[in-house]
Amino acid sequence: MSYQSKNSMLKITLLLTVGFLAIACESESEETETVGTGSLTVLLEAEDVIIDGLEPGENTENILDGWGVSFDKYLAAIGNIDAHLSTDESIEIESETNYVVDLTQVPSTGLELWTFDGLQEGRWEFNYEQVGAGDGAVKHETVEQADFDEMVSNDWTYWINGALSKADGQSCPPAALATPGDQMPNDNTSGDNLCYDAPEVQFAFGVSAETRFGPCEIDGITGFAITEGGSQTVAATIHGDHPFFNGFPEGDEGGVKRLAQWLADCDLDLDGVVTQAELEMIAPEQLPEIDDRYQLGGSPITPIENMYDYLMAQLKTQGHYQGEGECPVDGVAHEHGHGHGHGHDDDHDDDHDDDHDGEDHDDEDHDDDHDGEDHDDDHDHDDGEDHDDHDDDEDHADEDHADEDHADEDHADEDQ
Amino acid sequence: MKTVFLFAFMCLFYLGCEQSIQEPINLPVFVKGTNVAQTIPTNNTTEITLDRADLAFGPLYLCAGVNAGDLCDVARLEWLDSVIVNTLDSQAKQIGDLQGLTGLVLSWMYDLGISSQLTRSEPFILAAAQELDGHSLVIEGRAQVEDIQIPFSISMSLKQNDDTELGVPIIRKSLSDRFQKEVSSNDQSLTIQFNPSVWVNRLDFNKYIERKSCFAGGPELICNGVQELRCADDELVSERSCSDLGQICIPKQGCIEQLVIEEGSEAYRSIRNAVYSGIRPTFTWNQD
Repeated sequence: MSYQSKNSMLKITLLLTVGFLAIACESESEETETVGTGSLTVLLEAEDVIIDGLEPGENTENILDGWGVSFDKYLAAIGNIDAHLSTDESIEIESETNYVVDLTQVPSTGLELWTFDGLQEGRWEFNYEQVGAGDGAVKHETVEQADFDEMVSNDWTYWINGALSKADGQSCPPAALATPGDQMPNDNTSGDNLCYDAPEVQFAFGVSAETRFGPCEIDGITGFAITEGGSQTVAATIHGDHPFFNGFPEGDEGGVKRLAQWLADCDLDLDGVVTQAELEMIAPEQLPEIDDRYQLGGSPITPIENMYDYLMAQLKTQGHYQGEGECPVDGVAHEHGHGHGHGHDDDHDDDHDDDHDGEDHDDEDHDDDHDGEDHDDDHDHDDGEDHDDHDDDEDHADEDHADEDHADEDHADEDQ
Repeated sequence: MKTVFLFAFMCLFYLGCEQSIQEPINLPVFVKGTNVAQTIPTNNTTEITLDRADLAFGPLYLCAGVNAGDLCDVARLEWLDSVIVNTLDSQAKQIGDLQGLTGLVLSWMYDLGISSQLTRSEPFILAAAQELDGHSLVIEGRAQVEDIQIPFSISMSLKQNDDTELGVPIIRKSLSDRFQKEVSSNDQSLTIQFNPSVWVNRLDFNKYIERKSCFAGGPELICNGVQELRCADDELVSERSCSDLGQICIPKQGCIEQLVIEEGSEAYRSIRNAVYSGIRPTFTWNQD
């Protein structure tokens, strides 16, 4: 072969190589050609147990220790919808409006709360958050004003009122803490704790359980697909029975057992209502009910010092996708240091308030994180994930987003 | 020329797709305990001295995902053995190598010498737990309550059971545990440090101290401090000093050498919960 032939061959090979690399590393290349767009609607779904309650029984979905559970109010603050193109995280959408919704009022078809147009066709990853109501959440019409104000003033994520009922139910509060007054115990004990007849035990507590869920998947498929000209609908599903789980499953809930006696045993003054203050007084070890049937090793927050911590930990796992789809829980709670405003002018930066070096987390760290919330002023994502900087100049899929979100609010109203 | 071209091609390919390359890695893993204070204060009037705190540790898995457990089907790095950790010894000891691939790890999970499998009804008791007579944790110590010192011991087997998640390691990184590391071939080691004081600092031994006299309708055996009383209603039948025997008096048991904390007791639950969902061990990369 002549030198010229060799040279030509090398040039061709080089061109082929560059072409090969362009294909091989396609995911890192800039998308330049015109692509189609579609729209997305995000529903808020409530697990049916929130509306229908839980029945006692032996089936998987039943409460195994004989209690029935009903919910009068199940207020939740939800929002910060955040999706991005799977192949390019800089192409993203974010919701501007967070809502406080009474999940007991959500129709079985879901509540249409957010819509987005102009999403680039392709597969998108989907994330959302349980938020603090004090971070500028909007009252949904399913919520009474007084309840909403209470949620906001306490920056709660959940406010749950309901009742346990069981014909032969009893409450067996820790003896060291119980103040039964003139009530007489029955003949039963739970460990060393005396038991008192209690066929109905109400519960009422607000909980801050800010949590980021995602990227969500269903049946192993991440997020959702947008097709050209298509309209996609996905659902952020909030489960309601996790406070009665006997552990913290990550993934399939099929092996979970549901038990409610622990909550009945938290009625320290035996007035028929379990409150946040009572939960905060009781250490898990003081409840014989929290025995080897409970597996606390996967708790999203540690240490669990009291039963309010335990409840909070369970509530931080309730976010799902499309019904039973899974969303990894990252425990994030980021301070919205912008008062009551939301949207693209938020400075989502990468200044993680902790230095995520994978190294020491000492006792102080744990104390800081005890409530699973890292409140700082920089709107930091304390989730151990990399969030690319994004500002108003970024390639948001929908530049009219703010306007759309206003439309969304109307939309939500229409839906009610 | 061909060699130069091939080299250039390889360089270009490496640079172009650098992020996708993962390398096999064997990373030494060390464990150590903590020189705990001579006496460990508790959240009550008890003070505790630990004489032994042996933990069966392993296997250990590091996962790419934020959540371990069911969502970590394939670990990025794993150490499949088990070892007894003297958690009172702050000297780091290499226990083996984490094997796997370089790359980002965001969560961890481990068992305590007893590993449950989906394919078996009974969990595997690994070598470390076998050495501890089938237990995950053995603690011996002394609790000082006012003027009485109570020698105590506890042995517990911490494992999944039919009521919980078989097939999933029992202890998993919580979301409030900070853990993120891009593991590279430059990394030298991972050191895991346990602090047993956080397992016992909520123990309350006050309920093991009884200061009573014989009374009508009372039990036959009563403790009055370190005195063991035998009663017939409100009449004292006999009395002996446990301390003269080098023993302690425990309600319902009388004079005994040592309090064995039983499964199902509040003290047992306290330690179990602390190991499961209390303050976690620290994970340190490349510790000198």
